[in-house]
Amino acid sequence: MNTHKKAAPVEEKFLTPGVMVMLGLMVIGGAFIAARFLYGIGKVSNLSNQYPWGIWVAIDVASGVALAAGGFTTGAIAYVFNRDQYHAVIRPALLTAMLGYTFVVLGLLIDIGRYWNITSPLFNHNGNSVLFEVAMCVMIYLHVLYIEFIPIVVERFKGRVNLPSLLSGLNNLVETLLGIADRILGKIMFVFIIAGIVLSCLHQSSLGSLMLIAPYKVHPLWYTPILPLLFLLSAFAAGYPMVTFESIIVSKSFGREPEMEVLSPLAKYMPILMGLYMAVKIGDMLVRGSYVYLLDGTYQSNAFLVEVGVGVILPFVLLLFRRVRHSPGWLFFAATIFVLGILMNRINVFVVSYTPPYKIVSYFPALGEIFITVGLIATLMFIYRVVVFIFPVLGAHPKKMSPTIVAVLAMAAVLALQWAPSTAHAESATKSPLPLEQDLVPSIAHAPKLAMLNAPVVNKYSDIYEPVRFMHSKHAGVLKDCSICHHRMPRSEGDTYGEPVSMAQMRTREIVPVACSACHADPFNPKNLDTPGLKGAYHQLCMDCHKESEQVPFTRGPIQYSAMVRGPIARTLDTRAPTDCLACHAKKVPNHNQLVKIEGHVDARAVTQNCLSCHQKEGEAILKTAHWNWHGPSPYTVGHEKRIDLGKKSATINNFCINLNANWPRCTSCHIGYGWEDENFDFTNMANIDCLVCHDTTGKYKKTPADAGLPDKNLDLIAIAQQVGRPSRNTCGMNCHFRGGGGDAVKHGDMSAMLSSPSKNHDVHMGVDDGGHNFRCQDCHKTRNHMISGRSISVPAVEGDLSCEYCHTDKPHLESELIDHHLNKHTRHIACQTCHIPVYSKGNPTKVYWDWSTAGQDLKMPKDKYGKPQFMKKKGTFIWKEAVKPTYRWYNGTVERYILGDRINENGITDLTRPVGSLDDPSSRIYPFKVHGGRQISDVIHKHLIAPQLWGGFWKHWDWDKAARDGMAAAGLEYSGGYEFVETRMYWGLTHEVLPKEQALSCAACHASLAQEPHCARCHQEREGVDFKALVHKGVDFAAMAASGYDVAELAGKSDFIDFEALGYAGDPVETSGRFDKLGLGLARKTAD
Amino acid sequence: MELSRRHFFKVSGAMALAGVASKDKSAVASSGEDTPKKSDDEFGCLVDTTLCVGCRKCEEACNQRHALPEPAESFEEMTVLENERRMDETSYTVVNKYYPKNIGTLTWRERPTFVKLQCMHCNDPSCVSACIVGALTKEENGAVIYDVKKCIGCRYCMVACPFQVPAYEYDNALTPHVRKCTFCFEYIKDGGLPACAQVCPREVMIFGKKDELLELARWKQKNNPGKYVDHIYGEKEVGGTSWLYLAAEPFETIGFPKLGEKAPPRLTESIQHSLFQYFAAPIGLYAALGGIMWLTGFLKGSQETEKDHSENEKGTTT
Repeated sequence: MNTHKKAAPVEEKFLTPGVMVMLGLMVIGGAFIAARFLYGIGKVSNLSNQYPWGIWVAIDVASGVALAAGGFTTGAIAYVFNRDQYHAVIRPALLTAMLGYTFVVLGLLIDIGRYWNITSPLFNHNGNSVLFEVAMCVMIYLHVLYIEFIPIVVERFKGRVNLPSLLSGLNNLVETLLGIADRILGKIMFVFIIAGIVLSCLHQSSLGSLMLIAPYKVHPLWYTPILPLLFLLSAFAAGYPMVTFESIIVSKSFGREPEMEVLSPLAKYMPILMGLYMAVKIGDMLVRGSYVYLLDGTYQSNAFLVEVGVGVILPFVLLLFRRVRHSPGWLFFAATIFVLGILMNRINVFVVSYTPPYKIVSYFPALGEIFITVGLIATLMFIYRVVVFIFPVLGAHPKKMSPTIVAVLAMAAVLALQWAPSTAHAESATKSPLPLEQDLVPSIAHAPKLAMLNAPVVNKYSDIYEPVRFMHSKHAGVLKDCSICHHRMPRSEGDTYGEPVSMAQMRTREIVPVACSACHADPFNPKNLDTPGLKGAYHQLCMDCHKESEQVPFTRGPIQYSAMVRGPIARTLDTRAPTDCLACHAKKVPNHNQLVKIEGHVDARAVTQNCLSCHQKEGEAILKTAHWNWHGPSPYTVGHEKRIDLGKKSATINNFCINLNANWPRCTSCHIGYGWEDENFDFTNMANIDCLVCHDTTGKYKKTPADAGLPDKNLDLIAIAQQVGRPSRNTCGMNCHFRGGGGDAVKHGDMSAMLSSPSKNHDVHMGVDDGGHNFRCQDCHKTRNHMISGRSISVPAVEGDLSCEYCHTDKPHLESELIDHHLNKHTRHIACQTCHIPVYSKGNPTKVYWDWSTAGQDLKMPKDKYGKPQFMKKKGTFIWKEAVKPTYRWYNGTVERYILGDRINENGITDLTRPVGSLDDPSSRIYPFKVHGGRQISDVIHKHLIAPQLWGGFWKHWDWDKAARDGMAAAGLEYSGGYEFVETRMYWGLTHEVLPKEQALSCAACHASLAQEPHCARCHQEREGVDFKALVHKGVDFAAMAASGYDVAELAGKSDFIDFEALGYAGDPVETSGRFDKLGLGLARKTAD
Repeated sequence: MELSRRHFFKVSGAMALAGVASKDKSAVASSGEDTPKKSDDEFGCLVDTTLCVGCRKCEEACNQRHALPEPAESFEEMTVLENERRMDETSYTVVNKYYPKNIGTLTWRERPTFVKLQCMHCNDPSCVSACIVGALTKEENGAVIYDVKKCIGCRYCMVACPFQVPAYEYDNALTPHVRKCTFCFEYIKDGGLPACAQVCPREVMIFGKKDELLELARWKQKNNPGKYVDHIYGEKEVGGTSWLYLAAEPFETIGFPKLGEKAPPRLTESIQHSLFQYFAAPIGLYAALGGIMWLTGFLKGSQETEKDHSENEKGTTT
């Protein structure tokens, strides 16, 4: 098989500038390859879940295979069709094919993630996989190529084996082996030649089949069931142009004459094969009608046009001309553009045409991909050069040489195609409120008040949350139709499909509602898949309804006039029905016994560090809270709405212990942190957070009273940490809020230690006995990211709104009785608390007056009737009161607040906090307040209140002047040197300790007009069975309360509970008309003027 | 010449036989699967997208059951729903939120639709057909599962998947896995539930036998006239999928690709199997080429050249 012009090793200078460039590219490529193997494909490529295949597959593998087609096509023409004259190009083509396929495999090793498992297909066959067939064929063909190359090796070394000294003993053996190989191979080489052609046909076509599995991702210009045929035909057509391209480059690079005597005849076949490919390709396009995409201007259609126009049609036409075929330059040009056309075709099929259904980022090869590909090609060319220098591959034509690289670089440059950027989809939301049908009014008074939705079947499938505390009667009252939830009932025992029920049937008690669990149990029961499981049923029903009422806030009327909104149209109550998980559920806290991993006696900060090891995010959240910073946004403080720095940290002042400045260690024993002893406390250090003060469940955790928030040193903190849980009324209340002002019930009129386990009659929400709802604090004070909702008049910081209406709506009364209609009309003018908290501090006396001016003296005063001290040397004189009638004021939710440094009211009492609102302000409602009066130190010249240093100051030296000087220095305010004591006043909201509805104020308690005959009959007709007198007096019975020990005897039997005239009314609104409307009696409103 | 012709057939015949012997087993076995087998035991899930509220509990449960890496944003962070997401190597399922779209004056929906996505577990999965080593398999109970031991990391399954589901650990240098929903295969095998279906508060995905789910889907459509579009996604798409979807909106508007009813493997496998049926095509080609070679006198020529060759060599080497 060596009848062509004698081939011989090239004998030239090996290292040329071109080779140096190649080596450079190899080094760069090698570096990226190293990075790929060290850090993964993701680091060097832009391959993604959308584009799993990139140029490594398209160029290194698919194009590599296609452009190595010269091997089998020249083999076919030279051996199968026995055209001897082409033997001259066989050896270079064979070498190209061999190296090409070797690099296909190397490219694959880089591209596949588990390269070390590349032998897996040998053991794990998937006969259905196109890729499996390709892999097998390529593997076998690679070996065939190596075998075909053996004769060249034999020719080079046979009879000349001369191994280095150590191995020289093997010379004879190697020589013998070469001889055997030569003899045997000579006889059976035709087997391999034909096998090579068959294998090539198979995998060249199958490479096209690869993309057939993805019909929805490949652009229709390329996707065709005959893609394998096109790949095969294009491989046929690519063979000779590739051989020509290569041969001319090699000739040029070694300064030889192009082998036109071989190439020109070979070129005769090119237009035939190209024409065939072109005809099938264009014919297929016409048959499938995909030409409609040709001119749509996308980068795909442009790529297709270039590929076919420049890469197929142009070379085909050129090669039809004899002149082209016989001119080295023109032939090279035509061959090159066809080769590039094939390259582009493969890139198009595998990359450009690939349109993932969900495209987030477009694919363009990363530098790493490009350099690895270029590096591989450079290596291939380098090895080619090495081989032709060693083995007799090229014909013997010694002359000088020139660099080859430029052409290759040009090839790479062509790769830079156009890539369209991905388009972002912008969608807009539209909402339109839907009116709900308003169906009417059965008696739902029988509905159970509260249900714990705690079925085991729910917990079995998910125990992330604690059971829901379902306010059953509240829902019944709002929905007014039991059949919305109790929608069907079983027809017989065990029936889970049931029949529909109607409210009418329930009203007549024909049907008694059945529990949800009667039908809904385990989910996905194959016997009745159409019945949701209990968990699904709850959530579907509850959440659908909640979503509906959340999205349609106007259905039942917005609380436009709520005192909790600013201005009459500011906004509606935004959480009509919550739809998020935490609004109904509480998250379960896992057992921390095993989770807390510290030992020995540890200090408090070490415990916090341990908490933070898992709860870093929570720690970060704490740093933003008002509980941590003691300041926060103050949207409801008039004049300071946009500020975020107001709080007791420095800015506010009260008439209890006055101000934090210079008093840190004592005051900050209520801070949720450790070590706030002076103004230098580090608010960014999470290790200072006191997790346990809120999350303790043992009740043992206590802070030392004056140690800047640090706990008692003798506590077993680890044991406490191992039992952490959700905050409770014990942690929120007993540790802090019940004891505001330094002792039980001192500050708040509506909170005291009694709330830790009150009776229902003390607080209907928190009551623990029968009928009480046993709420935790956070059942109302919803908490997110440690931000706790709720508002207080006394402090400006707010982390979330809260009002009774969030649960009870603005029509809280059931309307099952006529009187409810009147009561619901009150909600525009009167806060819930006004009627439902008729007296405050029911259980424990609270301070209502504090005179600091007597502090420091040695007075002797007896304890008062509640057993409370009326004087303490440190603090001065106090007045305590129990079961007090609140003070009523108009309140629209905003507060006027005294900020440290403000000028005092020189003509009377200075209000430290004052609710804003008036009769004429529609967003104002009448609210109940505790008023705390004070007499506190003020600057006689500057006329502003003084923040004295009490802790470690006045309480040591009893010198007001020094205390004022030190305190004001710490507060950064001026002190003139003269002080006086001035009257101040604080309003404190009353929201807790709500009485059961039976003990709300009666109509007669406020409306004197209704207390007299004929009561309601002034407007309403007498009706049998309705006792108007009883009706108007229905409510809290102060006489009975007094009998059971409350100090409320003087309130009994009165009809002037609210002083309407003081609130701006002309008199009892029933008689003198309401503030905006005429009332039923038709009396005109008497205005003051 | 007589001798060489015999020689030719002897050698080539032996080659061909060897080829048939080694490969026809797989070819025959796979050619029997032209229509995918339908098992009564096949499980599926019916996802009623009208029920989903996008709480992401399914994502969380899936993440925990499969010990996937914790995401950067917590599962309680709902703003992530504002961007269309895809499953990736750290999440086998994601919920997407699709806002209403206007077409002219028509608004298709009032509220966003939430769609839980995961592997569809096709009846005739492209990935299974594509996988070079059979690392992906369709199990009797409907799950399409992945065996990392066989995988070579070629990502052809990702190319093949019409739903763009499998994801890949591109940043794992040594042992990257293909990642996708397992249908909690090992749990449902023992009578358990997929983590997502188990945790879902609203039972958005109903787990059951596939034929019963189809029945249920039709029942739901019939009993809620006007609520659903008249299409059960996954009933016919790419030959049917184990996961089925009901929706109130046209599926194209809520992120589902529009796919034909034919399973893509039917085309590729029929090409492959007809090509390799009893190895007829390769052997025929081989024989034809051999014939041409013989006809063009190569064999004769080669005998002559062999002689020349050896003489030449003697000449050159000595």
